[in-house]
Amino acid sequence: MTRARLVNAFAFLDGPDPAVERRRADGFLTVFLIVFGTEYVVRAIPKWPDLPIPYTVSVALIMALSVAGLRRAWRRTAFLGLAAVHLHVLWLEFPGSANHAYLELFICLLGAFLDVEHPEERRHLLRAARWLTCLVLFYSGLAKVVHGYWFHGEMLAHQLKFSYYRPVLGLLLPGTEFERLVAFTAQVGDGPYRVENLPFVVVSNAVYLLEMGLAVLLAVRRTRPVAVLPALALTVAIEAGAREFFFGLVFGNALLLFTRRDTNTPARWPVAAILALLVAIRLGLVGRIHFT
Amino acid sequence: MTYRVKRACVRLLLLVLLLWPPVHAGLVSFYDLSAWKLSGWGMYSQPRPKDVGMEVYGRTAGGGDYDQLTNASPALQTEANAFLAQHQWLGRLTRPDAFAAAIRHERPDWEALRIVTFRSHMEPDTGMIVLRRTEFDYPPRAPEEPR
Repeated sequence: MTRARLVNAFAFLDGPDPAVERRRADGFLTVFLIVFGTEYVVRAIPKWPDLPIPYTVSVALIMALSVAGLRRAWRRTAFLGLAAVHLHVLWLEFPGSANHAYLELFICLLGAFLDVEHPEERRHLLRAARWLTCLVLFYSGLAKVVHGYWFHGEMLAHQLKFSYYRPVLGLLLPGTEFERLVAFTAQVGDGPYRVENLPFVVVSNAVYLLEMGLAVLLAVRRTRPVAVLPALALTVAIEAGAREFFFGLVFGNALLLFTRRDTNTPARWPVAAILALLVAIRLGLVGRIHFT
Repeated sequence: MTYRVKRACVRLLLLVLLLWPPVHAGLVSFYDLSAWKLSGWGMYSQPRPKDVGMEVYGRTAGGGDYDQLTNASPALQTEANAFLAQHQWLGRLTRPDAFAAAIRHERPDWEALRIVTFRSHMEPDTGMIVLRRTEFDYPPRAPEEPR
C-alpha cells in the first residue's frame, strides 16, 4: 500500500502528453548541455591563464563532452563523463561549491543512467527532473522561513551592499531608509537591517510565499498550466536581481518541462544567444556586467 | 544496468533529495553550517557567513594564563587558512585538528591549546550584525572547567 502510494507520488509529475515527451527530453538535455559547457568556459575566462592545471583540464573535458553530448549516439557516455568531471571539481571545491552545482550533477547523472530512447526510462528522466525542480523551488522558500531573515526584509536589505541590487530595491524604499541601509557595509555593529517600509516588506515576504506556493501548484497537474509562467517570471526576477544567470538558465530550462507543449527544444536558440552574450561580456567585448 | 535497478536508483535519489533539506536546516541551526552550501537549497535564506578572524592561545605545562600566539609562521598561516576555508561553510562540523597539530609541532612547550574563530553574523531577532565566537580546546575542556 505504502509502496503503491510512493510510486503514485513519483508518477504525479508526468507530463500531460506522452507524444511530446521524447522531443521535450531531447530539448531539455540539449539546452542543459550548452548551458553547462558554456558555464565552465565563462567561469574560467577571468582566471585565465592562471587557472590551476586540474581546472584547465576540467574545462577542456567539460567543453569536449558537452559538444559530444549533442550527438544523440554519444549522449549518455558524454553525460557519464560530465558527471565524473563535475564530481571531481565539486570534490576539489568542497564544501564551497554552489548549490546549483549539485543540481547540475543530479541532471548529469540522470542523463547518464537513463536512456531517452527507452520510453520508460525517458518517463523517469522527465519525472525526476520535474521533481527536482519542485523540490528546489519549495525548499528555497522554506529555508527562508526557517532561517528567519525575510520576514522584515533583513536579507534583501543586507543585499543592498551590492550596487546591482540598488536600482530595483531602491524603488521600494523611501530615500532616507535607502540611504541608511546603503551606508551599511555588513561590518560588526551594522544594523538594524529590519525594514518598516510596507512595499519592501511585502516583496520580501512574497518571495518565499511564491517559491513554496508555485512549487505546490506546479506539482498539481490541474494548476500546473497557471503556475509555469509565474514560476518562470519569479526565476527571471530573482536570478536577474542576483545576477546568477547560469543558475537561472539551468532552472528555467527545468521549469519549461512543466509546459503543455515542448518548449525546451525551441528554447535552444534564445538560450544560445544569451550564452553568446555572456561570453562576449566576459571577454570584455560587450559592456561590463557582474554575473555568476 | 537493468531498468528496474535504474528506476530504484532514481527513486532513491529523489527520496534522499526530499529528506536532505530538513536535515540540512537542522545542521545549520545546531552546528552553524552555512545555509548556502551542500545542496540544502538555502541560498539567500541568510547572509553569507564571513570569517573575520582567528586567535590562538596556549598554556605551558606549569599552568597559569593562556598566552596568545603572535607572528605565526607561513606554515601555520597556510594551515589556518585551510581550516578557515572549511570552517566558513561547515561551521562546528569541522575541527582544526591539523592546525592544532601544526601548532603543537612549533610550540611543543604548550600543554593546552585554545583556537578561537570570530565570524560576523546577523541576528535574526534584531537584524544587527554581531560577532560570533567559536572556541576549540586541545585537549577538549571538561564541561565544568572554567575558561
